Amino acid sequence: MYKVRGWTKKNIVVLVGIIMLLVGCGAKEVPATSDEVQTSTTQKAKSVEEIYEEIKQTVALASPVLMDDEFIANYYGIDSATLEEYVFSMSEDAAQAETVIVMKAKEEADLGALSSSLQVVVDEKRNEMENYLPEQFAIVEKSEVQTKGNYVWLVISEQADAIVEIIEKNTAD
Amino acid sequence: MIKKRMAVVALLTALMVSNSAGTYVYAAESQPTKEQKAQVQTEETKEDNTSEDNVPQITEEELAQYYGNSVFVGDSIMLGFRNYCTKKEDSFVHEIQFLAAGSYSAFNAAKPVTDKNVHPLYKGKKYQVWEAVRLMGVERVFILLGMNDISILGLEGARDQYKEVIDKILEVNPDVEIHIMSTTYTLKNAGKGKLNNENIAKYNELLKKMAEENGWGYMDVATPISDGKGNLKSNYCSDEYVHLNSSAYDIWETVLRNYAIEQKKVEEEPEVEVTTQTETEKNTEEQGNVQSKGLD
Repeated sequence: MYKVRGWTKKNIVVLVGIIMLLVGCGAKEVPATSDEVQTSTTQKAKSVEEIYEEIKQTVALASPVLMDDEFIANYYGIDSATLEEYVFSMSEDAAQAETVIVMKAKEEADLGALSSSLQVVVDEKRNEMENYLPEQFAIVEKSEVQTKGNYVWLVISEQADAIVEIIEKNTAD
Repeated sequence: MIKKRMAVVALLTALMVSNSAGTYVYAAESQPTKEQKAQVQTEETKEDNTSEDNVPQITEEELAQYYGNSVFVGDSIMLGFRNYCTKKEDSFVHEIQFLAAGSYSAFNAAKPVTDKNVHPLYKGKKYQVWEAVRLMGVERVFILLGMNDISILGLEGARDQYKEVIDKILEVNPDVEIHIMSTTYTLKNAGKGKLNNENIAKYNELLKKMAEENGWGYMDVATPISDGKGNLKSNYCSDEYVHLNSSAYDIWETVLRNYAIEQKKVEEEPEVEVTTQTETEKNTEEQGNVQSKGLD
């Protein structure tokens, strides 16, 4: 057997392993700097456009049409000037109730008015579909307007759970 | 040997001649004349719909103005058209305003506004249609109703209710133009109860007559998307029943364009002049009368 000053090779390997273990256990976790923590939180929040892209890539929406400032003002009285960003998507097919609306308000104080406007959308769809398209009515009945931080959203869809999950994980408090 | 060479030369010569002849022919076909080029250039630069006389009939600007001062009222069929128009940013149809709601009808329109009753929204609130038209301040009202009335009210009842709604619109907005749009068909054999294509065709006749009697416009949006036998053409149907797809609304866009051209022609037709005698003609006639009296 090969020996170094009385130590066998096997003994040397074991000794090195022990030393490495001791070093590993003794290492202290270096706390992240405040910048790194902030970056981590920021990376979690995507833009509304990015959130909608992820939704489209995850679920198959029913022929969605994106509505613009004029539309949301004329039909729902929503002032786009109060919004930092938004997506207002409805199915082009009038026989489909599917709607995906995500809005980020500039001011938290505007959330109440925006929520009321989105509730109008729910009520409109509910009235239209009841006694007319029962399957679509059932989908509308399960929907609700939700808020988180400066965000408000409404999802009317058979795949509402999956869509809402995407919105919730990508919006900051 | 010489003969062989001559034969080869003759053959080669024949080939060259035939190729050049063919080339001459192709060249003539591929090279348009200066006149043809000018005509194509003229056609390419034209943006307007032109008649056979190359007289512009209506410009895109005029179309946008005509329909931009209009509101389209209706049910889910109209709602689908609203959604179609929203995405057509480069078309005149994008300028149209809408008062539409799924399951809307003349029957619903007459009901008061409550949380439950179906009325179209305007700026986030429900209004009875005549009030919404007033708030919008439009010049023209295009109305598509009936699909949701026939089963409840029957043909004449639906027509009468329809007239009541229009009368109310005119009472509140006396200067607006009224244009009735025909009810569209269901897919073949997809009708339910009284809502069948035979009744829809009869209903449209009633509407057309009502429009004529009252001096209102009538736009047939049903026939262009039918199968020629009084049914909605299957490739224009989105749900195997009654709702329309984008292809159907493409047709509607053309119908609207042609309708505006027709309306413009009506507006531009010179009025029939009531002839009045000029002083000279009157004097001449009087002189003639005097002379004839003298002869007597």
